[in-house]
Amino acid sequence: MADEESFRDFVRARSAALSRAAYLLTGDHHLAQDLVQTALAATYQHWPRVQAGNPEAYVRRAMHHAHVSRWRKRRPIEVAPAVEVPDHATDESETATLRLTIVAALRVLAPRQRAVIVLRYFEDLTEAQTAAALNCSVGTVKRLHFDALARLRDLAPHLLADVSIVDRSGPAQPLGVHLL
Amino acid sequence: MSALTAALRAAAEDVPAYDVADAAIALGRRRRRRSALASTGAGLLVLILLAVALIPLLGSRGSPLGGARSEGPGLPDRIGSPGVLTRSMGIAPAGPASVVFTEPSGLLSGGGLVAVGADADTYRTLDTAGAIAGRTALLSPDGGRIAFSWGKDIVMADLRTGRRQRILDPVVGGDRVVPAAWFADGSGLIVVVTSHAGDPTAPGIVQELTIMDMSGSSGLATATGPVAPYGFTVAINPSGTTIAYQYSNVITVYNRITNVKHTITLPDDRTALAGRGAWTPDGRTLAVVHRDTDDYQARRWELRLLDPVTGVERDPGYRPSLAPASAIRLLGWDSQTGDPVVVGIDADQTVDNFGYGGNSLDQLAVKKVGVYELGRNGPRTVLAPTPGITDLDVADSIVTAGLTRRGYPPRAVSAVELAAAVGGGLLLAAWGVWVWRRRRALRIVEPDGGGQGDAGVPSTRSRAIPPSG
Repeated sequence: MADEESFRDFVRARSAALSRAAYLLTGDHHLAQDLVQTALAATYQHWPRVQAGNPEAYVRRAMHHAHVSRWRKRRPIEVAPAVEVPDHATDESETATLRLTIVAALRVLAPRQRAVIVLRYFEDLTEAQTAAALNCSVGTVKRLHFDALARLRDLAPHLLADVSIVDRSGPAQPLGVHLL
Repeated sequence: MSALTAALRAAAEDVPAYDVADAAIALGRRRRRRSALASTGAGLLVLILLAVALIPLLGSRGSPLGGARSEGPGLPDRIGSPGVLTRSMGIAPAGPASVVFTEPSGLLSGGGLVAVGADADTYRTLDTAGAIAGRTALLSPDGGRIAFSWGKDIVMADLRTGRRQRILDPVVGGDRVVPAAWFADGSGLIVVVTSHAGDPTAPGIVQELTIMDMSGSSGLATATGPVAPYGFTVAINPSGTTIAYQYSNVITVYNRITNVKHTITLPDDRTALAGRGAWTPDGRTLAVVHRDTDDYQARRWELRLLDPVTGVERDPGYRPSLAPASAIRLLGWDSQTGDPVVVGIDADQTVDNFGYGGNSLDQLAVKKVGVYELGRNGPRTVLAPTPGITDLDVADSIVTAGLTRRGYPPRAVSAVELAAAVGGGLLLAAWGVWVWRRRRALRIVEPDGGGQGDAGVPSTRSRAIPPSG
């Protein structure tokens, strides 16, 4: 019971952040809720050992892997939606538009590209931390990051006006070679 | 803060904290139970498969892993190839044997020799460097020792202690020494010493019979002619006073007490001294084996009982026989029935004649070998014909007492069992990998975000993510 209490404490403290990250990964509340539940269940399964280490890193890794695994099983046919930005907008509608834009743009990315964007720009992790969360090499993270930004630049260039691929991903590479 | 970060935070701003704690705990508990059940089930399955696979490899049919079931001393009615894990008698001596046999397909050099315990089916192996049971490797009368040819020497292996003792060539210049017969009390044996005079193909081979006993060695006979085939060369009467031995087509009967010799000239080369059991128990009659040519296709071999002094057949109406057989060799006489007990060899062809010295038995591709008691009403199988063995020898004490028991030979590994063994091994390896991956998955992520675990979910490293769109 002590284990369950400590787990509940952990969930109470971290569920908001996990929910937001899950929503960004899936773009859908139902899928996000399901993803958080799956990741927390995997964490609870090994909680006696997990809590002795870094539970947050563990649950984050579980969530990202569950997300990719689920995508593999379902493998939806993703069609890039048109990302339209209104010409004239108020502050409120600008925020709403920004939300729609980023959610729609994220949906177009492959799951691991999406995960890299969320981990790097939303959770503000370093490349090494991102690689650890995705259980891959730093080089893979760099490649995914580069490809994701190239794609986003096509879809919503205004979001990347202040983002340098060179700064984030290492040496500059000709975009044209990697554009899809 | 970049525009991308601002957009992400704006998109996630209104996302509520999902209330999934209870559901996650319930799901986690179910997974714990399933995981424990799967681990236990996989472990049990692997153990069962290994047990199914290993039992026939390790042991014997119907017997525990040691391969032994005590039923008192006796000749087993069945023998078989030893299991792959059958131990050597030098490492694990198992006491006196009832029967020894040569199995050419074995792992030992020249096939090696296998001894089966007198009281139980305890199988032990012995490397005899190609010596063949019943011909060049002889079991002592009590079954406690094996004498076999080891080049120029004789090796004596003690089945009780596992010790091997090398007895040096008793004759200077001998090229090969082969045991021919044990004395009934086990005090010594007669050996054949062959001197090839530098060229085994040249005429003038000298074969000397020598008595080796506690007092040392002493010559018995020497001749330039060849002795009868190994296994048929010498017979010693039960009291040890009279020795019959054969050179070419002549049997010499030598009384050690009176120093008198009689010779019997055999009528043809299809007749030979019957083997080490050629003397009847009363020591008054000598048996020879004869290939019956009245019905050539019948492949019948019979025993004929001769007067050892005159060589005249005592009772032509009594000729116990075995057919079909490529050759028979007389082991001894069952004291309960008075009937002779022979080894019956079935090969791809019959021995038409012994050739007296050609050791033609060695040229045969033997198919199976059994032990038979040749009663007046026909032969009775004592030890079932066993495929895959070259020849065998039975302890005199067992033959004379007429003791038999049920045999539990090691079972040959079937294709299904072999597949089960391989499958079990693979399953064990897979289970090991699974356990290793599971433990690796459970490795806790370090606080700095490092670590190699995959949180118990499938890894994504092995597959490249295809570009979307």
